[in-house]
Amino acid sequence: MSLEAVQPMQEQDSLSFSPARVWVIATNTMTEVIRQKVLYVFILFGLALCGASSFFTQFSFNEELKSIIDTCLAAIKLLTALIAVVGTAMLLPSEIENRTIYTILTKPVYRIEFLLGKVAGMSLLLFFVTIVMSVLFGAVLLLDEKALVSHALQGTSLLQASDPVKQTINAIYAQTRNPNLIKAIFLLYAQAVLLVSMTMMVSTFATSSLFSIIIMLVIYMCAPLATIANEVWKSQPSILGRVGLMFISFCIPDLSSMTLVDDVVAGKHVLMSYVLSTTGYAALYTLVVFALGAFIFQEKEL
Amino acid sequence: MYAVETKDLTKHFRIGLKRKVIALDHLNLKINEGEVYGLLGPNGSGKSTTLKLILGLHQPTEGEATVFGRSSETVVSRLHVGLLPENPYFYRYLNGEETLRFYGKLCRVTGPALERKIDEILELVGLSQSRHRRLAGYSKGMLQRIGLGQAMIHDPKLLLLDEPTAGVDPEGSIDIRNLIIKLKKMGKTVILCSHLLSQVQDVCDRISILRYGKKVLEGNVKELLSKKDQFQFIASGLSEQDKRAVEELISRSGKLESTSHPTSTLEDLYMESVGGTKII
Ligand SMILES: Nc1ncnc2c1ncn2[C@@H]1O[C@H](COP(=O)(O)OP(=O)(O)OP(=O)(O)O)[C@@H](O)[C@H]1O
Ligand SMILES: [Mg+2]
Repeated sequence: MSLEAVQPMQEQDSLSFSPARVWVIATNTMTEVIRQKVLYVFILFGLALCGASSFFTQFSFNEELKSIIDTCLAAIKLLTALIAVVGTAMLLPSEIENRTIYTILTKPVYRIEFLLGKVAGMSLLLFFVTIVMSVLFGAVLLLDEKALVSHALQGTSLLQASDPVKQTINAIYAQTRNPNLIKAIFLLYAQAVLLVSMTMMVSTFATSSLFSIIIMLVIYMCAPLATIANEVWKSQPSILGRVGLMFISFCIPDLSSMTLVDDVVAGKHVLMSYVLSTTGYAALYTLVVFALGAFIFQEKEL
Repeated sequence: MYAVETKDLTKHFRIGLKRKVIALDHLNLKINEGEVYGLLGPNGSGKSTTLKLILGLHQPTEGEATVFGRSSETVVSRLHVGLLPENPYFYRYLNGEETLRFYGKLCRVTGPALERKIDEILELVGLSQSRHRRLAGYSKGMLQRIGLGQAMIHDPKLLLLDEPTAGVDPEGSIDIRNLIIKLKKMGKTVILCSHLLSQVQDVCDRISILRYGKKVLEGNVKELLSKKDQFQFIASGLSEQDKRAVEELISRSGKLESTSHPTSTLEDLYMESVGGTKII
């Protein structure tokens, strides 16, 4: 048995930022969360919720579809936010407790690569969770659509159907094949990524995962405040009031702009420009919060 | 250039608002390339803290450490370093092979070279049979072995081993000792923290003993342990008669096998230097 050199040793004077290392850490983070199996409990819960919603038959097709959309979107919103906050809050403390962080950071790995890998892994995982839930949501909707349409037709074919029946069927399609649903889910995902980044930032200085979760809970509950602050700071007469409100809207992300569940259920149309500007806001907020977290982590004593 | 050099390396830990612990106090070390260097000392004397400072896991309160001439605070200084931390735990959800693959990829070892290296290292640390088992089910000694494996995955020039034999069975202990000797033959530098004095005595070229974060003794193991002012004769085939007057007669009637300085054990030396130290 010999210990031969893997590659000729080169004297390097610098080490550049490496996306490959970030990717290694990201995939490892996904493996971690997936193999911990907590995720399955969450997903099963979501599946059950979506599945169950299709059994609530309502008085009218309109009510029925609304309740399904409402339940499913709410499930996606809750689950992604929960996984984002709870999952991310556990990452750093468990690394520190298990001392795995020592072995990683004593390899030629930048701290920012480590943190980015963690955030990217979690975001990627949430992407899959969102896709899985959306596919299920779509399946529930399509099944229900089929049932409702055949009920409306009552044995006749679509070509022979009377105008009122055609109108009903079109109304059903308007609900189930609504592009606003996809926009809403997309923004929920953007919110989840923002929450991941923010939780990671908090956990760089938090003393435990519980601490991070509680802080994030407070931020989550105060989010409506940010929406109000965002709207009224310009009309504040005093400078102090303005600065105070600006501070609030800076510290607390405007999450309600990303959760359009109620609007979509109420049948409001979501403009593409709105989606773009909100995504831009979310991306910028995510980036700033990440940068802050990376800065704190850089100085952290391990 | 030294493999590791520390200049007045000092580390204070704040505990609470006012109190602080002086974990390391103006430590100066110069460790040559290719040397096996032992760090000894009672519990809490600052051995692990020294290693962490050398690897940039802690920032020094004062002074500095360099690795192959590069400041410990830079990431490039870690290119050729492997650490086995004390009581290592790894990702419980990975198996032995996946663990090594993960660390290998982090060090940009990839492809067939990585797979070859993984096989080689699993063989070397004696875990070939358990390569597909999750680390959650590994025993303490097995974790220690996989820890040693991940420290060597990128073939570093410098290895820092914090109590590598803690929890390892006697045979494994001997394997690790032999491995260290092999590493030395390959020209690697090894810094070893250990409480197993006989092992340190066997493998280390030089040692230093720490106490309350200060270096109280440093030197070449052989020189430290030999008693210069005394002589020792090993004689055989001495007649009964001559035995009585042995001091004068050895060279006349017996055959002089060897003369040397008697050596004390490292244990004696250690107890002399730091015996009775209270843990603070
Ligand atoms: N993160 C920390 N916070 C506060 N004090 C610390 C920290 N790490 C180490 N210390 C203190 O620094 C001193 C040196 O600790 P260190 O772990 O270096 O000892 P050691 O020589 O490795 O001991 P052992 O033989 O038990 O492993 C101890 O008094 C310890 O309590
Ligand atoms: Mg120690």
